Amino acid sequence: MKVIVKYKKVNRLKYISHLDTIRLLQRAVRRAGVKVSYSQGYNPHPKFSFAMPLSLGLETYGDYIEIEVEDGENPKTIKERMNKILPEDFKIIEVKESVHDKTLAARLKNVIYKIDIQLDDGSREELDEIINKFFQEEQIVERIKIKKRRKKVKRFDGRKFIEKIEIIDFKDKSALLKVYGIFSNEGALKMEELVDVLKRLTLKIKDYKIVREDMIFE
Amino acid sequence: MNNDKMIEKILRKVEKPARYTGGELNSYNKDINSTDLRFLFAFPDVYEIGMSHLGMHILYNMINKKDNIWCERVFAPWTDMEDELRANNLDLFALESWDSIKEFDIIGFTLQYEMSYTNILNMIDLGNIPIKSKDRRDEDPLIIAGGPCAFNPEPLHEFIDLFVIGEGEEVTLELIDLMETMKNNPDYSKSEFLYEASKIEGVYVPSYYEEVYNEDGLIKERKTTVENVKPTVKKRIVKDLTKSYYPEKTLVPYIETVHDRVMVEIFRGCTRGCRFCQAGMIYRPVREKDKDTIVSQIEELIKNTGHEEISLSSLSSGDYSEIEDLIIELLDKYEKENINVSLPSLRMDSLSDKLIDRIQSVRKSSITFAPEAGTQRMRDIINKNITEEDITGKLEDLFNFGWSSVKLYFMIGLPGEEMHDVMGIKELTYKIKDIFFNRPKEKIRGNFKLTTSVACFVPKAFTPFQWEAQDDIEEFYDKINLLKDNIKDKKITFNYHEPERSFLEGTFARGDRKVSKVLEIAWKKGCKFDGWDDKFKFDEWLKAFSEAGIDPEFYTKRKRNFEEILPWDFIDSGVKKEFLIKEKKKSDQESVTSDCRMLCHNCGVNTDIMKGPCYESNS
Repeated sequence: MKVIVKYKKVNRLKYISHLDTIRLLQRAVRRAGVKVSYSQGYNPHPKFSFAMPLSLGLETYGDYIEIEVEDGENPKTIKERMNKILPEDFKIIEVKESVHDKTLAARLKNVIYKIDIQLDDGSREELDEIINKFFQEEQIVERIKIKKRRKKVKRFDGRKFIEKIEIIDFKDKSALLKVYGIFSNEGALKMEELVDVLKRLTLKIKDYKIVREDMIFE
Repeated sequence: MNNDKMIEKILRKVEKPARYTGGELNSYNKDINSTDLRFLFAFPDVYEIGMSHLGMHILYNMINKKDNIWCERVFAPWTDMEDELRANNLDLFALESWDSIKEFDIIGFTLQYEMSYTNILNMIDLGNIPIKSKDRRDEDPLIIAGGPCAFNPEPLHEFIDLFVIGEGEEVTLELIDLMETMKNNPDYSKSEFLYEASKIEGVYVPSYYEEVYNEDGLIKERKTTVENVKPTVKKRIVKDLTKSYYPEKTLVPYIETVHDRVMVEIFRGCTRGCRFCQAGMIYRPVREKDKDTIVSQIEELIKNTGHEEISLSSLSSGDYSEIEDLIIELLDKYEKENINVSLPSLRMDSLSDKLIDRIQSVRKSSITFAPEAGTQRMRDIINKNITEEDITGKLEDLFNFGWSSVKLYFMIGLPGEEMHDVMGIKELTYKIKDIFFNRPKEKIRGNFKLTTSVACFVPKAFTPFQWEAQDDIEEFYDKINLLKDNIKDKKITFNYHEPERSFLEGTFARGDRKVSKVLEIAWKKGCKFDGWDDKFKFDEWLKAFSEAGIDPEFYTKRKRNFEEILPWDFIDSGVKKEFLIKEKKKSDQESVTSDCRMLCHNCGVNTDIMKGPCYESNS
C-alpha cells in the first residue's frame, strides 16, 4: 500500500537539504514505528518518492512524499504517531492512501508559492499592471548551468511556467503574492527567477521572502 | 550584539547552514529566564566531526538533565562562516539559542587533538572574548578544557582558566554545582571560584603554578604561586561504568556527519599495553560495562533516535569479555529491522571462527586492521602482541568468507626502526595481496582492494616513549619515499600522513609553557583548521616559531633523560613513572609485556586510582 504524506518544513529546518530531509523521514518512520517497505538489495532503504525537491533555505507548508507501507499499516494513525516524534519545525499535515499508479512527480501539475515582497515604492495598481504585463509578452529567462565544467546557458520564456499570480494582500509598500507555478516535463520556473523578471518589469523590490504553499496534482 | 535576523541573513550565504542552526532531534531548548547557569560545550572543529564525538553526547545530555542548567553547543565555524561573522560584526553563537558565546557562564572545550588548538583561540576571539585568561574579566565566561590532550595542558596554560584531568562526567557536575552556589553570592569573583575549584580532585588551575627553566631550556622546577594548592593533580575516573550515567537519547543530526549512528561505550581503558599508545595508558584501568546494560541502552537509543546503525565504542572492542555473545545478540535482534550492526575493529587474534561464521551474513564492508609495524621486531618493540601468522591466518579466513577489501594502518618513525623495518610494511602488504590471490580460483570473489596507510609516529606524554626523539621531517620523507617507490601495484593504494603536521603535533604533544607563545603568534598569522589539508599553513607555523625564538626540534628531536622534569610530571595519571621506564627498557631489549588481563604488571593504577585490583574485580 502507498500513502501520500503532506508535510511542512519551516524555520530552522529550512536549512536542511533534500537529502537531509530524506534521512530525517527515514528515521522518523522508524521511531514512530511506521511499517515501511524496504527496497531489496545490498543496502535496503525505505521506498520514498518525492513530488519535487525543495531548495535549501526555502520554507514549505505543503510538500508531498509517497511512502510504501506494509499491508498491516493503518494510514489513519500515521500522522499522529509521526507528529509525536517529529521536531516542531517539521510536521505532517495530512496522510492519505494513494490510489494512483503514477508517481507523485508524474502527477504534479502546479506548485503554489507565496512571495512576501517589501517594496521601495509603488501602488497596488502599478503592481497589477506589472503582473498583467508579465502575461502579455514573452519573458526571457536565462539560466546558467554548469555541466562538466562548461557553462551552458538555457534561454526560455518564463511565462509558460506560471499559470496565474494573485495579489492576496497589499498595504504599506508590502505585497503578498500567490503564484501558481506550472510543473511540466520541461521543468519549472524558480521563484527567484520570477522575482528577477518582476524587477526587470520595473517592480521596485527591496526585500522578499518565498514560501512554498502547496501542490496540486492531476 | 547578535540578532536572529542578521544571523538568518548570513546563513543564506554559507555552505551547509545546518552546521549552525541547531534544532536537531533530542536537542534541548530551555527558557533562559528559568535557568540558573548556562554551559557551552565547545568542540574546536566543524560540526560534522564534533557531532560524531561520543563524549559530547554524554556531557550534553547529562548536564541538560538538570532543569535549571542549560547546556548548549558550539563548533568551529568554517572559514566562510567566520568571514561572514567578522564582516557583519556578529559574535560566534551557540546552536540552540543563537546567543553569543559570550553570554555563557562556562565554556568547556574538548581537547581531542593538538591540531585543533588554533581553533580554540579563534573561537574565543570570535565571541569577542579576550583569548588570554589574565585579560578576561569576571563577566566573561569561565573557559575550561578537558579531554585526552589535557594530560599535557601546558601549551594552553595562558588561554584556559581551568583544566579537567581525566574523565569528565563527575567533575563537570561538581564544577557546575560549585558555580551554581557561588554565583548567587553578591561578591562572587572568578578568582574566588577558581580557588575553590582547584580543591576538587582532577581540577588544574594553571595560574596557580609556575614553570622555572634552566638556561638550556629544561625545566628546573615547578612552583606553586598560591598557598595551599595541591602540588600534583590526580586524574579522575568513573569507577563503575555500568552504573555511570549514559544518555538514553542522543542528538540526531540532519546533515551527514562522520559517524551518524547509535554509539554505545562498552568499556573504558585497554589492557594491551601498546607502548606508543597514549589512550592505552591514560584511560587505565579497564572497566567493562555489563552486557545487559549495553543491550538495554542500545534499545533505548534506537527507539529514541531512529538511527539505522549501531556501533560499539571502546579502545579495543574485540577485547570485551563477552564480545561474541554481545555481537550475536545484537545481530539476532536488529537484522530483521534493517538496523546494521557495525562490527568493531576486532583484533585479529581475538576473532573466533564462530563469530566469523555468524557475521558472514552481514554486509561486507572493508576490514580495517592495524598491524602498526611491518616486522615482528618492531611489533615487539612497541608491544603490539600479534604475529604475522595471526594477521595472515585470520585475513585468509575473512577472504574465504567473502571479504575482499582491506585497510591496513602502520606507523613509521617508531623507536629503533631501521629501513628494513620500513620495507617490512611493503612486504606485509604484498603478502596479504598474495594470500588473496593464491587461493583456489573458485574461492576468489569480489574486487580486491588493499589500502595501506602510514602515519608518522608522534611520541606522547604518559607513554613509555615519552622520552624518545621523534624522526625529523627529512627522515619521515625518506621512509615514505622508500615505500612509495616500492609499493607499485594497481590493487594497492598507499597513503601517508604529512610529516610536517606530525612534526608540529610533536611540539605540542610534549610542549611546555613556552610553546603557548608560538600558538598565539601562529593564530594571529591566520593558522586555523591545522588538521585540514587545505588549511594547514606550515610556513606560517615555522615563522611563528622563529618569531617566538623557539626551536621546535627542542621538543621533537631531543631524546630526554629519565631524570628530566617533564612538563606533565605534575599530573598523576595513576600509571607510575617507574612502570613507564621499565616498559621503555624492555622495549630497548625487544621484549614484550603480556596483556594485563593475563597478569598484573603493576603499572600502579590499581593502587592509586582504582584503589583495588582493576581488572580482576570486574571479571
